[in-house]
Amino acid sequence: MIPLSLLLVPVLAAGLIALLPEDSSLSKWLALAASLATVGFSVLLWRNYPAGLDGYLSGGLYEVNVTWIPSIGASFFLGIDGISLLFIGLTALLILVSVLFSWHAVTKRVNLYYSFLLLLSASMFGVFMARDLLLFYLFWEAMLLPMYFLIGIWGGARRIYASIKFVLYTLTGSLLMLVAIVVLHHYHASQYLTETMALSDLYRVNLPTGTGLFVFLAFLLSFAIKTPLFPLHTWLPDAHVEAPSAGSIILAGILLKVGIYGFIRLLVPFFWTLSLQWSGLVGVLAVVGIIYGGLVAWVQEDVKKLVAYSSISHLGFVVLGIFALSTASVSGGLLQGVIHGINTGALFLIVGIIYSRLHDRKIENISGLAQEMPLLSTFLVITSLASIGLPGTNGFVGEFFILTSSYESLPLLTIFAVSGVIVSALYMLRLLRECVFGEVSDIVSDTTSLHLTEVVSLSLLTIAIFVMGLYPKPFMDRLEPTVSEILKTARQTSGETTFDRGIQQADLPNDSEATQ
Amino acid sequence: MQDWVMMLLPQIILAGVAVTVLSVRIASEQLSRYSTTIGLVGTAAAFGSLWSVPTGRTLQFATVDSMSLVGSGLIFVSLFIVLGYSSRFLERFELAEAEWTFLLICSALGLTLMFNTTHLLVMFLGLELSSLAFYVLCGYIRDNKKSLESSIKYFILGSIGSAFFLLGVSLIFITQKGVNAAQFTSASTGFTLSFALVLVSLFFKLSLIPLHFWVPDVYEGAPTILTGYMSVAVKIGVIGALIRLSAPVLEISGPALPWVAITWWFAAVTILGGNLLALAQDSLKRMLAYSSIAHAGYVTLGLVSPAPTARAYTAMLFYLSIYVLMNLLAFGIIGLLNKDEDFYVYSDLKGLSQTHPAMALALAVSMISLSGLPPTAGFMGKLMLFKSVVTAGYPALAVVAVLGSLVSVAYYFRVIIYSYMRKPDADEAVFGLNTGPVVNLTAGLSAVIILYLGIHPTWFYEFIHTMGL
Repeated sequence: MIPLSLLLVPVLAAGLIALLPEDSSLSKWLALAASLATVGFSVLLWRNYPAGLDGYLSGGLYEVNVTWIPSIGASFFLGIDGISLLFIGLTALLILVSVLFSWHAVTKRVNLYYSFLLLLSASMFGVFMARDLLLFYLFWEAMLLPMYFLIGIWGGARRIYASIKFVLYTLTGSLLMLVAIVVLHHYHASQYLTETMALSDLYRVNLPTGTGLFVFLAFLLSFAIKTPLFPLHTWLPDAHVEAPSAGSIILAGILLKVGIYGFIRLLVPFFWTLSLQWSGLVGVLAVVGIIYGGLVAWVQEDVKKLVAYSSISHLGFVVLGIFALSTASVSGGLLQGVIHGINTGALFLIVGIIYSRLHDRKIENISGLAQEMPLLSTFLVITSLASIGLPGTNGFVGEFFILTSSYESLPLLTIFAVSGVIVSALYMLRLLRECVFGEVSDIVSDTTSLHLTEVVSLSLLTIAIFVMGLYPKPFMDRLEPTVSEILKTARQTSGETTFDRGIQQADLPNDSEATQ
Repeated sequence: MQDWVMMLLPQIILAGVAVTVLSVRIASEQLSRYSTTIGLVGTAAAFGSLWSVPTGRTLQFATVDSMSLVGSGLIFVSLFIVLGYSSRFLERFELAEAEWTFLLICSALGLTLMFNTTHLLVMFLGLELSSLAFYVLCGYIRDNKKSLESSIKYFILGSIGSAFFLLGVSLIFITQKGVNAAQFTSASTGFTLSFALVLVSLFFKLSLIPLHFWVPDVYEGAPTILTGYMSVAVKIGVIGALIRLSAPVLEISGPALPWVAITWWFAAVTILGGNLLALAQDSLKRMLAYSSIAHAGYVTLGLVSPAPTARAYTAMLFYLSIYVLMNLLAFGIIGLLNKDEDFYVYSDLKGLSQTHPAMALALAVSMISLSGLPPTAGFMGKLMLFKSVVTAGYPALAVVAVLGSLVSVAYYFRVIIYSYMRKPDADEAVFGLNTGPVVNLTAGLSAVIILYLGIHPTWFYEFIHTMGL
């Protein structure tokens, strides 16, 4: 029931909104209703999901399994486990925030805008729930189109360039992944004599070495582009800067997470041995991304670009955690993914508000926000500190988990990664010093106060920042069993018998962050 | 006697309708204004009669099985759609209706003949009948130089192509003592060479690179809806001929005929070349012409196998049916642009999404489907073709095809960019669409079916598959 509703409610709402007359304000309310409904569904999911459930191989909670394309063995197979649960919650929250922010920010072609936003949300929910490889691919690709339209129609000056660059870049990886999917399916059909696309069946396929490497690299490329992993990140600054603010929120908050989700859902379980072998290289790229992204962010003149590069930097931590390939580090990585979604979403929201008031994003022109827009500045300071990783905020929790648990498997890289925390302080504090404090600059001096919708969305995110920062236990309790199960299965299906990457529960440093 | 009537009933009906249209034209000036309507009714009747055709019988000159019924059905559907768009077009340029309808029906007749036989001379008959009709139809807008150019070019080059076919057939007659493919016996080098000539001719009609040079000029000059029809129907006919010929020929030839090498290279070069060339175009019709070349390459993927299976044929027919829908939708909407001349560039699309939101959306759907992205039917078609290529053991070709798709996104999305994201300048003309209720309905229905098949293709895919077995 709930998985289908998560898909159908946004799609139906999108359809209804598209049919409304152009100037109707009903579209905003419909969009709000739909997003509140999805938030409600996520809350329901959360309450019904018991803490210790792994729910991974079977599909988990709320399974939906209907035959779809028998000639290729694909089924309409949805399921929700610990990882999906968290990301669905993140998606619902950020969609709500986007709808609230767009309330006042979007004034032209409103109906089309909300339709695309809701279609995008439906496809993102689908990605996180799909347990069938073809279905996963369908939702994965379906995310591109609404995002393309959102950037291309409502974006900034270079929106056409940025949107098509985004599509082509991402598609390169995805299309190669499509061939890899067909190859995987073919090998399963020849080895097990059944045509299937269900993930749980495909995990047991044995690929010959050359083909296996190709399929692994195709998947890796596709997810590395989405994440993004240095050096495949160059689409991100353009896409983020030119996207409309709500588009940036969703792009940074959720779209980047599907790459990470893909790593753990597909890449690692399909290719445990290859993942182990390549974890060093990917780890190096991740750490380079952390430091490089941070340093480039430090010298940016455009606020939005600064936040975009900070995304690259923070997601390097996540990738490091995942490719350290122990239960604790992967759970930490995924948790940090969710956390990053909230933090960066909040940052882009604030930047969007700044831009809508000042019509300028250059740091040199913005100064003295604390005096003219104290409420906004408060939120900005909190969010920046969360992004840096101040204990008490969620940023600390995620990064700490990742760093402590990755040290066991990738010690040298982790040491370098720690410096990323300092670099993030560099650019964030610079942003605060230049923009929030100091003399009031010309453009700042004449601004309107915040709308109710903006205050509500900012508050929601800030509450999330502190809740996750002070009490992450419920989130970890739901993540870890699933992650542990995935890694265990990955190890088993790969035929590895000796193993030193900690499938046993790593001892979590409980005393340091979870002050209860 | 009765046998062949029942077997060829759809073709007989079509021929009857053609003769009727011509007679009406001669008899009465008044009634000839309803020619397209007569044509529509006749096509519907022919389509309906498909269900009463007995399958599994083989005559000397005709082989009718379920696969040919599917092919004929597709040709009738394309004919129906084109006749539906025709009356608007003919009014706008003040052209005679009866001759147009007559020629279109003749072309459809010829194309179905190609599918319904393994006898090479009957195939040639179908090929020539349809080609001659097309030569005239291309030049139908007589005071337009481009239209005349397209007609002459098509005539000259097409005749050369047909000459190859005939030469190949004569040589096959010498080597095989007969020209019915179903009765071919042992192969020899002579046979392989003569079959290669026939293949050249068929690949020419299918517009595979490097036999594609006639396509851009012919497609650009011809009336837009005719281009749409040609790009779709000729492919169906030729693929039908290839399917009919490849099975018996491969059976007897074995390694003597490097079938896989031939089809592999033709498909790969066509996909890459067609897409890259389309990228460079400014004219919409030329872009669609090159895109149709690329799609011919995609369809050929199904033939790349030492022994193409029933699933491969199904995948090809499935792809062709989807291609009918999406290509006719694209050509149809572009052909409706309210310009004085039949020549369109990208910038003519500016502002379309605000003047005609529903049609712009339909156009966007067709573009997305042509590039093969989910959740449209184009993706499902390509997926099935990729599956057959990988199953046959040539995954590298799937990678090539995928790279071609990637390139195609760039130019298909250009259409979306211009219709959605660019506003016309103050002094630029905004071309609306010359629409009407029937046209809107057709376009809307096509777009909806494309989206539906993208999410739920099984019923249609299985229908074609069971029909083809």
